[in-house]
Amino acid sequence: MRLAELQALFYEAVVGDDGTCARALEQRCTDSLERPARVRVGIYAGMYRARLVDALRADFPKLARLVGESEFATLAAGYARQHPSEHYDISRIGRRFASFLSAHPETNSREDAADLAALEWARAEVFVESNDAPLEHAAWIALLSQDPSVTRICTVRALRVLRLQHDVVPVFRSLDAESAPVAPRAEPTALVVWRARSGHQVFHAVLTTQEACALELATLGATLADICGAFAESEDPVQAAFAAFSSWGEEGFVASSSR
Amino acid sequence: MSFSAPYLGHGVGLRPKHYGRFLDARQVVDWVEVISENFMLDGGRPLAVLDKVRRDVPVALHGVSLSIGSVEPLDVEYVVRLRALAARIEPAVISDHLCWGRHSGRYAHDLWPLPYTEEALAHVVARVTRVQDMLGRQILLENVSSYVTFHDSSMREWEFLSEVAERSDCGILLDINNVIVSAHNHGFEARDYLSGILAARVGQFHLAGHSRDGAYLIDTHDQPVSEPVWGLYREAVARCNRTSTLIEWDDNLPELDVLLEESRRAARIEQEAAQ
Repeated sequence: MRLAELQALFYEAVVGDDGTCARALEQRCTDSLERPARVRVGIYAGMYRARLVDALRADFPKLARLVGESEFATLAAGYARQHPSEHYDISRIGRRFASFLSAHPETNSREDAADLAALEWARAEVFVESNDAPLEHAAWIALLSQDPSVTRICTVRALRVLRLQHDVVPVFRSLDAESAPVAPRAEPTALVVWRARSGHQVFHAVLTTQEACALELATLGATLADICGAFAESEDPVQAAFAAFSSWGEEGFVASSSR
Repeated sequence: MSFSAPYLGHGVGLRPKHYGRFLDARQVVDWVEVISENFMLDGGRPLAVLDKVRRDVPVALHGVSLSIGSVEPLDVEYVVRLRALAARIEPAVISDHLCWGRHSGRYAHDLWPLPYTEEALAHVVARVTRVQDMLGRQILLENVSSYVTFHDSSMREWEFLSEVAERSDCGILLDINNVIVSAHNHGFEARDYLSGILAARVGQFHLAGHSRDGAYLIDTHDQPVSEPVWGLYREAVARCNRTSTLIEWDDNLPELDVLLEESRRAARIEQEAAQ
């Protein structure tokens, strides 16, 4: 058998659910009474699934604790079947996990599972994002004083804005404290996830709808005028924009140079 | 063609659980090995840790996703990323595995065995040559633990690995634990592997733990190095003197001191062999 044919057969036997390929592969492998080919091929199938589930558990530890080990393993295996890894880095396997959970709500016992997964994934991504030097306070103030109709800001890459259907912050906090998770709270929630200005700690915080919109515009490269426009429906738009910009500058959301 | 790998002494695998210890103080270890893919990133803490550790000790890059034996086209982006990482940290050694794990653009994240045929040999030699050309340096290929062998194979694993090394001018990373595991699972003598491998091409040893599952040994890296592995290592250092040695431990990871003690035991064995 040619190498290409053998590899195709091996892949289908180990990754696929079709027993025909497994039996065909067994015919190509050494066999003995003590160590039958069926068991030998099965070792690879078991290791393949276990490794992907382990990788997902590493990136979604709180979700695993929330739904329990057994349910998590079932969810992860179902996800891995539908979304095999397409990247050399196994830690990228979970990038569609939140969408998968959202599309298959019947598979998980917690209605906020997809949102918690989205938060954990954003935190994992931000943890290893590019290092951009944040703008210093004086430079940020100077930038804000320029013509807003033409001035654009560049956010650091280690930043994500999430729009969720549940407020998962209390759930995250309770799991972080290793106490019993609080009940799901269905409430549209915007979150920002970012990495500390110095050091590598990752944080998340709830945003108002207006600030979330403004920050999304900033990440898309909108002008300062358009970003300010996101606060138009606030009770005090100027004060709201000022508070948000102060926070962005302090937390290091704005990069010192454009990309 | 010639091969030489730097002698680094005795090292341990650097894993996230121990980052804090390495950041707090320089550890008493000759060198560390990291999983390449964990650092082929744009930024963040892992790279910062690696930069710091690299200032203290030599670092080896050990990959798990090169998939050198796959019939899929080489993942050029992967090699380019690896080259960039190597330029950043100047590793003492770059290594990966004699295996395959990529099919139809999908990664298995496992180390699947090859048939040891002339076709596979030519394929792997061509791929290693290309990778080394792209990296601008020699790599080391590691023997993997395996649970199947193929009727199509026309040579033993050690013959195949030695041929790959000789023809592509690469080095061999001889994992002593994998020799023990495969010898048990396939019923050959571990010593035959050791005496059959091309000693002049061995540039590094790996030592690790394994588990037993019924009639099989499984390469789990979740235990101390077993006595049979230490025994074979003793013979290996006598055959390939002054070869860098690494303690690999991935699951159920104990405190760093446990790994360091295993590393010191390896150093003592090497000293005894030299006397």
